[in-house]
Amino acid sequence: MSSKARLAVAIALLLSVAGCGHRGAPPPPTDQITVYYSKAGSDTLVAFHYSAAPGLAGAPRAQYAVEQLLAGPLDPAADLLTFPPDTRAKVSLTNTTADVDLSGSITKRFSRGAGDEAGLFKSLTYTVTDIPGITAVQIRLNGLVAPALPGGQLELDEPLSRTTFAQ
Amino acid sequence: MTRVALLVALAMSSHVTAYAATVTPTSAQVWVAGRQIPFEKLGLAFGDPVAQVNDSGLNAMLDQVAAHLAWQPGTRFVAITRADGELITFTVGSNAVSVNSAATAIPFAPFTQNGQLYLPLLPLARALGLGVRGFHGGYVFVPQILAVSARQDGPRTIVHVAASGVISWHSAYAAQSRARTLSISFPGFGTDLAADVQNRIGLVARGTIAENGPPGYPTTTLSLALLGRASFVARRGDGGAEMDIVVARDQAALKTATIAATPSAVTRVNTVVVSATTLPTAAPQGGSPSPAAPEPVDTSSPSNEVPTAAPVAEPSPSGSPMPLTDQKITAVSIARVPTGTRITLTLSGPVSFSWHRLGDPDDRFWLDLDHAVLVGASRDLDVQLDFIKSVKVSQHLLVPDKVVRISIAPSRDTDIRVGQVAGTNDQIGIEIETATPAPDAAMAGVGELNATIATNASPRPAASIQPAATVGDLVVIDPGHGGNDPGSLNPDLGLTEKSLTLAISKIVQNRLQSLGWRVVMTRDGDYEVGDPNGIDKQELQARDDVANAAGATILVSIHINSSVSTSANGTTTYYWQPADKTFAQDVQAETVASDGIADAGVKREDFYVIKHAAMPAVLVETAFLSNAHDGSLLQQPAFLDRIAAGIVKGIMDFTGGPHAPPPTPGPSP
Repeated sequence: MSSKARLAVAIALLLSVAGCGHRGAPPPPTDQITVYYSKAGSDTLVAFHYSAAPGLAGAPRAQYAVEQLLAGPLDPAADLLTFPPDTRAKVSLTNTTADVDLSGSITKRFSRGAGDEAGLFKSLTYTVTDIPGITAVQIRLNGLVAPALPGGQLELDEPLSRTTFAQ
Repeated sequence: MTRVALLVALAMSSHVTAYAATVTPTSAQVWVAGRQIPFEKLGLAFGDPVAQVNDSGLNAMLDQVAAHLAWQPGTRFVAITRADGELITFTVGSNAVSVNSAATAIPFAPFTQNGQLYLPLLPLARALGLGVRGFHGGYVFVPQILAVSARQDGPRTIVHVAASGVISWHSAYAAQSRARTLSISFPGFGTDLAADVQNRIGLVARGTIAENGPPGYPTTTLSLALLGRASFVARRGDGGAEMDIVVARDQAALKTATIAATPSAVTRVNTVVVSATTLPTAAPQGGSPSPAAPEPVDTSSPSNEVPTAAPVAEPSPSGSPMPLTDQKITAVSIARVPTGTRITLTLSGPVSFSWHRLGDPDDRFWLDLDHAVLVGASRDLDVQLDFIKSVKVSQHLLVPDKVVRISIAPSRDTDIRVGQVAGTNDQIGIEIETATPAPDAAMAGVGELNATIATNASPRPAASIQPAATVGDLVVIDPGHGGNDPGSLNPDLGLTEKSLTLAISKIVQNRLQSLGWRVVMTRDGDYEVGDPNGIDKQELQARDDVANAAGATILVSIHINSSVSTSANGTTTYYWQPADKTFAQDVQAETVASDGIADAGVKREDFYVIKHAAMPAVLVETAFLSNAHDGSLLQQPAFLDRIAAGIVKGIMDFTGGPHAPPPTPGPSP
């Protein structure tokens, strides 16, 4: 398609949108969140962008982002670390720290290696702290602050931040 | 109107008349906080004790709990201010007592008789926060520990204690192989608090409280389980009924929090009593008791002070941080002084120090001087005291900080005092003398040599510095997981991480020992290191406790990796403290060179075991159990031996060998 042809199509589309605008409500504005997944065996984070309801902010926005993270990436073939499928999270907010209360089998026993463990919580921390106003994540396991996952190595009894994972 | 007024007048008259009729003298004794209070005219009304508001005994009772009474004859209100500032109000004719405006019903109202106002003692005691405990023919009022709370303030964990009397305390510090417990005992105090008073916060894993001893004079003990090595100070609040216990990893944080520069006067509270103090000069000073000293830096509360002949040295400028440059101990001398036998340490500059004493049966005492270097070899000192088995001075640590330790092993009850020698600014004295037996407890404390010391003080003639023979030769190996925690699994290969880590660790142990190292294993079988039913905090901290208590030079935690990605493979070494990066690099390089699998790199992660170790520490994820190639190799004993050989080489690279001076931490990245 030539540049002139592309211009003509664009003008036609604009006219079409303008023409039907008076017949109904305008489409709602969209919002996006960013969910980060860690690549297995590396320090790399992969960002996925998901649509979010406009105006979603604070704890509800963090809850939504964490649920997207737990649901797993759109491309299951990608070598990305995911939480066990039965993992659930309840997110609340105290000042600038998000309290992420995890439940599910991950709170009973973590039998993967330290690299996967660090990658999972790095992705969770980056996802939650991507939301404006949130700088840290306090992990809870079934409502309680615990020093580590059972069988895990990462210290969880202090809030995690992006600095925690700085190399 | 007239009728109403008459009814009120009759009611008041009835009250007064009825109460006045019931007062009978009693010879019952009253004890408050372990002290008998002599009342002038103690009486009974309705079977309960009452006292005249101007009875000297009542005021003595209030004095015992730092409360103050205000009453104007002819008025109906009696106001009492508690030590914590709360206001108690009794009103003549009112069957209620108010504490800061909150009213509580009482069995009968204060009343007047022959122009004297009587207060019911039991409601008064309760309003004061005292426990009311009867005994044969008397009344025992016991101050209570009312509340314990904690907060984190930067690097400091601050535990706040509120009581219903002026707090005095004894502190005890016990470092067992797997636990550190700071116990603060409050003699004469009871408590109604539930046993668990504090969940984990900061450096405190748990706080529990318990009352022991006779009900009339109990002792309440607050026990704080600490997470790893920590120093602490305790100080009483201005009102006397509150105190803060400040816990921090390093003493610099304590200094900025609370410590007055010069410690308090001598205290004697236990079998081996150790206190930070200012000691008199060798030429004894006669005279009056020391003036009020600054707040204590642990040991016991000021109320336990006994007069000393020592003048109190001028405190250091408040808030002046202690420099972290290393200072030399240029001379160690022994001399008889009127207050005992004194070991005097002469230093080239200001240092901070901490001391610890274990409880029975191991009554050892040790004093650690931070950032200090011993001039001359480690040595035994002959103090020529038959109740002292040994005194040793040694260069205890060279990394991460240089620490000189003076350890004393008493054979029987002994008083040991520690402090700056008065009239000097470069000498710390340790005075030893026999003591009367007292209940056993472990203790600890901290202090510092006057920060105003001139840093260019001329040192005494000294021998050349020689490294201590045994420093730097202890490695703690931590085989990951164990017991109910199998770690990673590969059912197809029939392998578990806990078995592989133990196998590799035992090879590492043997190889190190053959090179002349001392080796301590956090576990040497299939079991948990900590409480098998405990949460992982205890399990991981227990491993650190083994290393920290052993005074290890380095810690290596050995693991097998696993991932959802079957392609992930290779060896990774983790560190947390930036200074440990060099150690991780050495271990990683040698392990990869030896095991021949992929180099997955050195990484920094917030892993509990390496974070809470008090020495250089790394965690090695040797190979991936989830990877077909790595997994097949992990089935081969020869491969495990290659891993172990690499780890040992890395240790040798970093340390220089078992008897070399310990390594200097590498630069921060």
